[in-house]
Amino acid sequence: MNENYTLEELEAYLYGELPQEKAKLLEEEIKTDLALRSELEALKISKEAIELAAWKKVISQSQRDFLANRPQGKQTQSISQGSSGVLVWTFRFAASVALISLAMGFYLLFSVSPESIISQPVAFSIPLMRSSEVTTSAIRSAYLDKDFAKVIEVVRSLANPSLEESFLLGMAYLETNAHEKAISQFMRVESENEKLQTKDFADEVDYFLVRAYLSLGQIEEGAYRMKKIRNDPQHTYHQNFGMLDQLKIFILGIKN
Amino acid sequence: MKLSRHLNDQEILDQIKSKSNPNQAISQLYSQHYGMLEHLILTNSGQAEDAADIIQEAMLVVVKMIRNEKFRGESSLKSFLYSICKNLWINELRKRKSNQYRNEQYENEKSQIDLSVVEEIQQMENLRFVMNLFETLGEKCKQVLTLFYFEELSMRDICEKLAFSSEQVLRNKKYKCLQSLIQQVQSSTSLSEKLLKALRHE
Repeated sequence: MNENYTLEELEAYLYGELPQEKAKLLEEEIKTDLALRSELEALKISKEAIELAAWKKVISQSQRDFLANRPQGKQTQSISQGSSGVLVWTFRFAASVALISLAMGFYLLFSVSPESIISQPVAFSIPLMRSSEVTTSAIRSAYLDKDFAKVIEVVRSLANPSLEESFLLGMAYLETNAHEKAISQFMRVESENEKLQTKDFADEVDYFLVRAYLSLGQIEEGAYRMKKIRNDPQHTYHQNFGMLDQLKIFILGIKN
Repeated sequence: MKLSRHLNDQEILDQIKSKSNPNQAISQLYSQHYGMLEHLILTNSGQAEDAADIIQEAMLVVVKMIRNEKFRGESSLKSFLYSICKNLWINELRKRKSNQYRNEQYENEKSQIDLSVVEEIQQMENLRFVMNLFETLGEKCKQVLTLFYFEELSMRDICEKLAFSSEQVLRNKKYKCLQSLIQQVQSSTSLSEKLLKALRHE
């Protein structure tokens, strides 16, 4: 502590109440006397701290009262907004996805039809060099010429048509919208394959059966064939049906 | 806590500045702004307890600035409290280093904050240290000093209130209490250095 000024005098200086002459003297001394400066500054901060300590009590009491009397709803709302912010955003995101899905679901429910699935079918291409027989060649030529009536006529005239000829007959029926006959012909090819333990045109039969079934509105049978194709990554037509097609056929099933 | 009526900013400022009704002024700040300030903390990685601590500290900074006439209502109390809370929370997050990303985000926004507020918050650290020293004084000392410097009662009133035998006895007591606090402040090397450093910058 300095010996030239009392605490009262230093306080009086801070309040601007020290006589002018003594105040000037003090200011001069402050410039050189580090201890005096330090004491004056310590007094200043002590006075402020005493006052703020009292304010702190007032503030603490007000906060306690406020939080104790705060409406429960408001409290919960604020806390949930912050501490579970991620949850809120997750919920919002999930709700948005659900809403979009619902809208898509409604759209599909009203817009989906068998035609929307088979509107762009894959055309059947006759494999080259499969048969060198004259009759088969004639049937192939007729099929390539889209002369389906001739295909039907020639194959039906055969007493014992081959698997390829039977399949082409099924395709000719399909192309002429004789869907029931096409199905029956494809099923014959399938049972022949089973009998002979072969798989000739097996993938084609699956694919074109979907088209035939859907054209007749036989959704369940079409869905079965589509599922078979989708579940087999090695199936020739695996890539031709996507999840959307499966969803569409599911919705068609509901509509039926 | 029953509030008779909603005070406007100027009324709250006047009450704090004059210390005419400190409890009512602070209660009004809580009822009017706590929700908004709490939301700020809760939506920036904080918990309800963090919000309570930060808001309490922000109230103290506001009071300090009003009392020192560094805030005279240039902006609304709402936006003033908001900027103080935000700044205090930035400091707290920086200390915790719990969420680097948010810190960086906040750091980017720091330039928008009034520099005088930053300065006041820094000064609060020194003040908090002295406030803790004050709390270590004897109960009678704290009462005398609080009644004199906060409630601004006359020596006569304090003498009656605390049943001192005479004003001179009270005066001596007050002198000793204040001197004790000042000595503790000065004996804190780090604080003294900070205070002198602050003085050199003035």
